Amino acid sequence: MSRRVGFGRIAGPIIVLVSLAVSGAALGADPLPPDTTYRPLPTLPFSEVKARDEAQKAQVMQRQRGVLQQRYDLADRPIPGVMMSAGRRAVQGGVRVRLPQGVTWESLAQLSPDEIRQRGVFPRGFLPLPHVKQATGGQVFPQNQIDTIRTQEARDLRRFDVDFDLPDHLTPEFPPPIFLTTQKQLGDVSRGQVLTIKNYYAIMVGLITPVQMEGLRLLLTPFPQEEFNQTEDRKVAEQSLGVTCLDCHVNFNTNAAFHLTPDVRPQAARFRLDTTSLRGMFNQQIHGSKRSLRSVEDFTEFEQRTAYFNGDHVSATRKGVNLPDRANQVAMMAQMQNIIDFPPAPKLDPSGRLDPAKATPQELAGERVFMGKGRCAECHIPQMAFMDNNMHDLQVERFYRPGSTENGLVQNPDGAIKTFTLRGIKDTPPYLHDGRLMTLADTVEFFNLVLGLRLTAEEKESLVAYMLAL
Amino acid sequence: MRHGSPVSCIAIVLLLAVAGCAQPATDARGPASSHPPVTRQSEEPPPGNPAGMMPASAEQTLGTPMPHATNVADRIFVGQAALAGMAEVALGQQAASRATGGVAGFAQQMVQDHGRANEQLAGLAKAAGIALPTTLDPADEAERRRQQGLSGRAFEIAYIDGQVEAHQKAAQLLQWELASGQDPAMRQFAADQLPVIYMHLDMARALQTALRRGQPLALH
Repeated sequence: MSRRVGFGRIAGPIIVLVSLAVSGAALGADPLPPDTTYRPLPTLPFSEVKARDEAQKAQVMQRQRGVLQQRYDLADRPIPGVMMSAGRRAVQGGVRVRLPQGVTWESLAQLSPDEIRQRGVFPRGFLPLPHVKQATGGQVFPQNQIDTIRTQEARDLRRFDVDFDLPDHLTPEFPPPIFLTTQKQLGDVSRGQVLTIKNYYAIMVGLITPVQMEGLRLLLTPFPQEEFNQTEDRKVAEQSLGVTCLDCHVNFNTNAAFHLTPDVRPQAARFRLDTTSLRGMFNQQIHGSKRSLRSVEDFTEFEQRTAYFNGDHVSATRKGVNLPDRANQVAMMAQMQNIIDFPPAPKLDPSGRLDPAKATPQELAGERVFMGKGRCAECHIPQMAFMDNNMHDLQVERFYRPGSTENGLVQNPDGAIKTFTLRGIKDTPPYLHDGRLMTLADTVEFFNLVLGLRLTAEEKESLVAYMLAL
Repeated sequence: MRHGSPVSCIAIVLLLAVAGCAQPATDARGPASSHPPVTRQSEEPPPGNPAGMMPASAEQTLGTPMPHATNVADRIFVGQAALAGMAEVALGQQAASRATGGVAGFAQQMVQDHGRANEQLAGLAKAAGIALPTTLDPADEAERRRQQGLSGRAFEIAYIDGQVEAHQKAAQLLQWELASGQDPAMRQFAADQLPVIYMHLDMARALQTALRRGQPLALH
């Protein structure tokens, strides 16, 4: 016995080291199947896939409607008198995320993350929002965008397997206005139109430089994309020229078109991505909700492998990737994006603080909560265009057990996501990187829980009023 | 007391895990005799991408495969999952008898949970007409023998290191089946198992950390 102990004392560390060295490759000889990382090739001919997708479409959409209804109150209930920047759409009000039975927002806020997790009372709408069809994923455009592009360009953005899933009133105004930092005195220069390859020149000539004009042309030129291309591996009826950057970032804002993140695998774990606005790009130092690319030039160049092809350069090459020239094309596209301004916020002073002479008492109260008890300004710094150019992990998984699935999406932790600007925030519903929150009131309840703020009803209302002034 | 808190942390993790596995016996659907260790009743899997269906697959309606009609992914999945499940039981049995305290308790739970999951998987494979492997993968057998040659803390570290890796891999495999598979029953199995695998992984990681720090693992 004593010998054994002695042996353990001397040789124990050596055994540990040996086991460390060899245990890595020991279990499970076979690696995971390749399409846990790479996109699989279709096994059926296009016509057979299309027939099956079309046959399933009604069921797929009905299922997603059920998911949304369980999560949210989707009613058309605007805030009286509050419109988006061009006055084309009312801003929706009220908390839309549904509460689980037996709790109120107030009672929920009294519970610790552990208690909420144990009791399973984290509101479903606060969990990652599933794509309408997780197994396929890909870009899905709202009907107004599909109709506009069909009329102007005779290009088809309609998918035969899925439709857009949110009602119009919960998405941004269409078309959104365009504000240029170089033509501030003109206000909205969009003329109420959607910029396309067919009309951009007439609308923008005289307003932008030759370099910006060429950048704009490229941002409006369709290039092959995973679901919109000329191969059998597509989800559009006819062979397609592809999609353009501004098909999602319409007029450099957003139409709430969604996608799956290119930055996560396997497919079931890829979270939904809500299109972000490009307004205020000039102040943005990191790009991509997960990639944190360090320049808009990098992002613009790499989007041909990411938004267009799910982060799969192999698939991109097969379907006809476009690799823009860094010195000419990428730089020009970036220079166009960098003159897109935020919408006017007349109550803000040059450092992003409310002007007390212009703001209402409620808005000023909201700003105090924003800067203080609400802790919003720790990341959304007014003087930095309401960003901090950082990524943060909200650790929302403290409130639920990861690993369950909703409509095919595995509810995994989000990990670090970049801080998005709040300037012009009323123009860009839905909110969060995946669009899981429908209104600004939802975002207040979300952060009230996630950051453990215990805000009063009055404080919550003032925060919403404040954000509407941004 | 210096060692007290990590031990109770592990104890709590284990208790939670056991509670999580015990719960569904009352509310999970299906025959009462062969419950998988699920923590929740997962939804019926949504339609997959028909681009990945088997040519001439049996269908109820266009795009809806007949029950237990499988595609290539299902067939790869069921074989890989069966091998992994068998290894869990074999390595778990060995560890349950040779490890102590928290590691032994974990190993016992792996034998139970994966044993039940293996039975369920065997039923799914049989229904789909797929012959499952009946012996351990040679690499897993080699690993079992390697662990057999170790003792004490070195054995426990080897077992738990392997468990962390095996459960990480299982989580990816289950998620792959969820989106790539065709057979709704197999995809549902994957959805049901994933939270359990995450729970096992959390437990294994907690044990791994404690072992590496040289902390005692005995449960009281």
